[in-house]
Amino acid sequence: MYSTAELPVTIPDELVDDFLAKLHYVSESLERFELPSERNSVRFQVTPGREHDSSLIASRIAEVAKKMCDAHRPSEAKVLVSRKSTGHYDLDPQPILEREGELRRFGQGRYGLGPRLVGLTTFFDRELTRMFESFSPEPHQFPSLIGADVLESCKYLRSFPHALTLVSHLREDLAAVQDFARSAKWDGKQLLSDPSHLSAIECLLAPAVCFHCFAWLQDSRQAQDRSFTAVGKCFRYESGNLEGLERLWDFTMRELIFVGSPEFVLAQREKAIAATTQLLDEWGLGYEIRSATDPFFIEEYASATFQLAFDLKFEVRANLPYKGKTLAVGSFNFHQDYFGRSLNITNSAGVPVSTGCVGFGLERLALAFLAQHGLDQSNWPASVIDQ
Amino acid sequence: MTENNQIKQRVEETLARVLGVSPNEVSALGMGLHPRWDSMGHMELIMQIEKEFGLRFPTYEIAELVNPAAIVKAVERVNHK
Repeated sequence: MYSTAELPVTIPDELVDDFLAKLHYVSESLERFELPSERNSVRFQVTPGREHDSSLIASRIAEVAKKMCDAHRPSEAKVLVSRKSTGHYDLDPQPILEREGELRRFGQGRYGLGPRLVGLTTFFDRELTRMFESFSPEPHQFPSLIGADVLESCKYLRSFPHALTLVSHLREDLAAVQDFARSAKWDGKQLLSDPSHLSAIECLLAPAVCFHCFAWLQDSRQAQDRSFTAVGKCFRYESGNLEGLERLWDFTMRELIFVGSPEFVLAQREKAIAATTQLLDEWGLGYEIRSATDPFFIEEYASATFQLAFDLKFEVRANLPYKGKTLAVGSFNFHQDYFGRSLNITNSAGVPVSTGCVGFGLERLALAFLAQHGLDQSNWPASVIDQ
Repeated sequence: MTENNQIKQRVEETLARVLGVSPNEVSALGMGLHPRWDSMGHMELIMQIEKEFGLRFPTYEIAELVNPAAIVKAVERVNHK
C-alpha cells in the first residue's frame, strides 16, 4: 500500500535526481518511492509490518524537500566541451560481461573485474598517467584507510555523512575476541556479533585520493607550487543509488593534485581540461565537460550552489547510449584555499595555499567506453586497439 | 535615515550576528578575512541576508558578494528592480 508525503515546495525539475537520491537515506523502512509529475508530493511504500513509520517518513521527506529547495538556486550549466561518440553501440554491456564471466557482482556496489575489464582500466590508467606527465607530478601511494581526524578537519564528516564507510576492529580484549570468534555468524544479510566488542572509530575508508595528499602536507609550508599523482581505491556508500559499474561503493580513481597559488592551480586545471579533451577524443568518446556540484547532504546543500557560483567543479559526463543518460567519469576541481586553511598548509609567507584536483573513475571510464563502442574490439578506435 | 543607509545598517547587523562580531567591525571584513566567512560560511551568510530582505540572489551573483559593500549594492539593486 502506498502512502503520500505532501511537500511544502514543488521540486524544481533540475533538482529531481538529487532529491530522489537523498530519499534513500530517509528511513530503513522506506522501500519504494516515486515523485509524481506535479513534483509536489512523494508516493512511497514502507516495509510490511512497519506501517507505523509512515507519518515519520512523510515528515522526513518533506524536511528533505524544504531544506534542499531553500538552498537551491536555479542556474544554467556551463558546457565547456561537447563531443559526439564515434561509436554506434547502444546495449548495456554489463549483463553481457556478467554472462561472459568478465564481471562478477559480490554485493551491493561491490564488483570484481575480469581480464577484459582489467585490460581496459589498466590502459586508461596508463594513458591518464602519460597525459599527466606534462604536469611533472610527484608520484605517491596512499592507503585505503584514512584517519577520521583528517576528514573531520576537512568537514567531510559534516558535508557527506551519508556516504561514509566507517571502519572498526575488535577491541584489544581477550574475552571480546574469544566471544566474537565463538559467536559471530552470517545470517544471510549481515554479520551478527556483539557490538560492544567493536572498537571506537579511528579510521574510515577514503572517499577520495587527494585527502591523503593534503594530510601528507598538513602543518607544512610549501615554498613552491607542486603537483602530485596517485591512484587509489575510493569508497562512497550510496545506498539504493548504487548501481552496477555506474555507481560503485568501492571504486578506483586516478588523481592529479595541485597545491600552490590560486593562479597556478587554476592554470593547471585549465591545462588539464584541454589535455583531457584531446585524450577522450582519441578514444572516440561522446561526452560533455560541464559545471557540476558534489552530492552534499541536505544540511550542507547550499555548498552545491557555492560550487556553481564560483566555478569550482566541472565534470566529464560521458554518454551511456543504452540509458539515454550521461555518467560522470571524471572531474576538475578547484578547492580555493579550503584545504590550505583546514589542514594548515601555507606558502612561505604563511598564507593558506590553494588546491585543486583532477580525478577519473577507472571503472566508469571502462563502462562508458564499452557502452559506446561495444565489446567487439574490431569496432574500437585504433588508438585503443593498438595498445 | 535614507533607504540606502537603512539597507547598509541591516546588512551590517545581519553580518555581525552571523559572524559574531560588532556591527562597526563589519565593514573591514570580507570572505576569507574572518574564520566564519569561509567557503562554507559564505552560503550561510548569503542565506541570512536573503531571509532578512526577503529576496534571492541568482547563482552567478553569489560569487561577487564577498564583502559588505558588494552585498549592500546587490540588495539595493534587487530592491530597485
